[in-house]
Amino acid sequence: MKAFIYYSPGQGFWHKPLFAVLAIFLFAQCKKDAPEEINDEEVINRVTITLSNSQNTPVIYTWNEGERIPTLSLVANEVYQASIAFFDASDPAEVENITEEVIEEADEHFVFYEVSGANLTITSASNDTVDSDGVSINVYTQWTTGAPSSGVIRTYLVHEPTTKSGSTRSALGGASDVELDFPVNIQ
Amino acid sequence: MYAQNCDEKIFGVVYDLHDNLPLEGVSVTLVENNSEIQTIANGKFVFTGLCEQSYMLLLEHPDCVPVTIKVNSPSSILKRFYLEHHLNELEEIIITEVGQKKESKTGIESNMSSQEINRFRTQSLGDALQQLSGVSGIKTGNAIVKPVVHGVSGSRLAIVNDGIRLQDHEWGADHAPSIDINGANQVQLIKGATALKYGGDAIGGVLQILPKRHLLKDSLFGSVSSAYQSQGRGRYAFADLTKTYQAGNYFGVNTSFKGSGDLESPNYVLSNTGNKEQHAKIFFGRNTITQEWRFDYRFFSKETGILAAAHLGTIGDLARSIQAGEPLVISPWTREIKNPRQTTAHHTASFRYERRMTNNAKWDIRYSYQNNNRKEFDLRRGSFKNQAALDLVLQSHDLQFNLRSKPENDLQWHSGFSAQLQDNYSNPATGVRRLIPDYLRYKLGAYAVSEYIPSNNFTAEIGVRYDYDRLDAQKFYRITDWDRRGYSSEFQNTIISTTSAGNYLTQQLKEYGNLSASLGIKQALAENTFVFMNLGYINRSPNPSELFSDGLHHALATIELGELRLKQERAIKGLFSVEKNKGKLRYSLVAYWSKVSDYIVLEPTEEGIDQARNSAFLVRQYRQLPDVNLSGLDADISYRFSEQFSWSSSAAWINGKQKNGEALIDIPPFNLSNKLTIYPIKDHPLELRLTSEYVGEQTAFPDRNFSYNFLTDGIISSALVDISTPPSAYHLMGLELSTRIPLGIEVRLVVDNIFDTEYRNYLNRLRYFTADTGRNLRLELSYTF
Repeated sequence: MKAFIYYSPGQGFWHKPLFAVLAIFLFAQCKKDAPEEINDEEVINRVTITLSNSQNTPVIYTWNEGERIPTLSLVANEVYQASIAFFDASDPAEVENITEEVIEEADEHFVFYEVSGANLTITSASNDTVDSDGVSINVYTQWTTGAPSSGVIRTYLVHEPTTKSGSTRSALGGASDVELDFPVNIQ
Repeated sequence: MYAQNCDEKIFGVVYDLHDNLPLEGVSVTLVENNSEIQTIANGKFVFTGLCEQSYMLLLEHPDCVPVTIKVNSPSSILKRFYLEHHLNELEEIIITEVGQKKESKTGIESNMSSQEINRFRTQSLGDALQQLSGVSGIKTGNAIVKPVVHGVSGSRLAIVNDGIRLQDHEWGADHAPSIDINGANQVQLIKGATALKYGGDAIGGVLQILPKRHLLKDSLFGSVSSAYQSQGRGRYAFADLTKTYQAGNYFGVNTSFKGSGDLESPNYVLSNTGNKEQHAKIFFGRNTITQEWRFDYRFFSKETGILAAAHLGTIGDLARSIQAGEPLVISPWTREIKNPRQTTAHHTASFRYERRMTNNAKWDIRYSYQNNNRKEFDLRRGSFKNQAALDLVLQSHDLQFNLRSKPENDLQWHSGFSAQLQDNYSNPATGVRRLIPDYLRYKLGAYAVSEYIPSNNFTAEIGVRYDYDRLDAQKFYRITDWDRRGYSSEFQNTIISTTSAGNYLTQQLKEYGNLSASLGIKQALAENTFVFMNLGYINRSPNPSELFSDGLHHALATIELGELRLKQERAIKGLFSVEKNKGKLRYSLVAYWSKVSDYIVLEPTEEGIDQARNSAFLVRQYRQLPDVNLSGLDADISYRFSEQFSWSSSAAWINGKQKNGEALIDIPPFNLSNKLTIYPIKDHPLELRLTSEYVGEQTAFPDRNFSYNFLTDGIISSALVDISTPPSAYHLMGLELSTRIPLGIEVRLVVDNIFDTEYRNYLNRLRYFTADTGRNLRLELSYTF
């Protein structure tokens, strides 16, 4: 940008500041630098549930944002060790494991499961992460199946819950960083 | 040698320099002869029998600073003399009676005097403005109040603080104007589009905040005040000091602090609703009768907690919160403000120079710099815990030149030009994709208004304005979003580069030419009774948030998306008003009607819920409605029964509809407020005020409900989430007692919402989560010197 302003002296005292102001105005910022690229670094767009029992090798169920949620297949009357993990996979070359931060900040996190329709009981596992109050935060859980049935496991990662003793999602307070309905089929 | 000729005369007329009206009752002393006369009704005076020599004239008037003028030689030609007719600023009564400054002669105005403003010292500007009929507020909690005039806000409403248009409030509904009400001498709302000086894009009108004017005399004045309120256990302090000199120099400072903790509704604490505000202003200048220069610097900062229960992660959280009916997070009362919260810091520096000619022509030039920083902090984890999720810096340079021509043949011209440069910077350190991209915006505008006053009974104004608006933004788009929005064919040439992370860097260049025009007529019907008619044509270019928004608002689990294809909004607005502004009975009745084409709204998309993100968020996208009608009525009536007893009432009703008959969202419901003022003891400053505020239920609203699969007792069932139905009507009562105690200290005790009524307001975005605040007790002490 170019601008020419002719300054003729002696036309009253206001010309000088005016000239300066105009000059600042016109030349100060005529072109901006290209903005730095930002990629969200805390988005949870991949959740995995790993299930294993005494007989089988662990099975990993993965959900990616935008994809259908996979159906979990379980055997009736069986006990499973389950673990949940959260990832930021925005950049496929550099997938970030957010579970580490969840464990590090155990006081501010809580994994919560609600089961609908299926004969399934979920309790925290003995090797589960505990927060400073000794409350298990359900990263590692034990799933006990009953008779064949099917339903949904609603899975939440609650950030900054007001309490961890509620039996419903509403009672826990806080914000849900993840809320996913995993279909479950017990055979 | 020549004979002394002593039959000359001095024949003059004295005018008020500001409004060019003749001044009656000015005492004119001919110093040499020590003879004094008074000017008559048309401001004229005459001295006869004078000799051919120079004379000194002393002009004196109770409201003016005395002026001594040398007349070189008497002659029969009529001489014009000008007096700076200042009002005595300490006499509030005079100010409310006659001292309201008018921006436009045919504009429909609603004013608030400094006395009224002082009642809202501890509240926000938005709260105070709602005292003006036709004004309501879009709220995000209680500390963030954005004024709405005739159903519109944001870019459609110009907020002008001391001649400088505020540039920071286009950032979205959850951002309130960065102005402290303290230090304002007058608040003026110009309804409609007649104030072209400040832009041609404000369909709602212009809200002006005017500072005190200074007298040409040696004086030191100021005030201190302090207050406490029960809501949030709020504390408040204010001090101002101004020094003026007879030579015209003046300087002053004022500052205020406000701080409060969690607010409370009748039944629970509104956790994390604390608020802190600081404000400071310094100014200095020199005002002589013919010229004035002035420098101002203003700082405003604010930190506000966002209701903890309003921080949502998913649409399920929103559904559960609405179903619960009360906040899901209630913690013990605290003064501490935690995340989520927002902070703003606003600096304004301005310089102006004004020159008044004796022929009543006037010009002024002003430059202002505004720097606005807004930060939003969310609940984050890890290294981002204390990092803002949004960090915007908007800088604006404004240059304005205004010229008022000398009146000729009942005609007077007002014209001017303005230039603006804006630079928006979005800090990448947030680690969150930019809500608003980096951009530069240039605006050039010119206006001309012609004022025609053929008689005292009739005034006509016609004006036109043109603005050139150029926006140059650099913005990243996710390639998937870009394709989904169908931008690939239309905007392919805006792509600068493709990044490895799957983004396009694009350059968006938008140019708009906006023409606006206004026509105004004022006709006197009887003494002090006038009819006003205004017609305005308005063009408004889409603002950067409407074009480019791209981000998540946690408060409503909503993703807001801009639209590159937006065109200008065009509107026609007509207003008709009848008003009587003096006497026992005063009233102002305003009817308005407007038609807006390509009205820009932020509405849920057809899918409503973002499928790609697995229904975690509501998606709202800016789009244009072909035709929208906004019409309504504002009424103010007051009656003074006696010196001790007066009543005033104001009401507003708005109707906002699309062409297809669907109602617009967020249109304020009918409201009616009444005030009874009593001075129980004759000639005693004890004042009692009873207020009543009724807000109706908005019955015209669009249906934007969505369904959600609730999981209750192990059973999943789908139910509608009602985010559309407005809350019920409510009625609040208030009481105010004020008096002056010894030492000249003024004491005011106010009780708002006396009966601790639980209510929700349709325009409060947090109404989904919580009831509004309950009873509030305020005690204020102030001392003016």
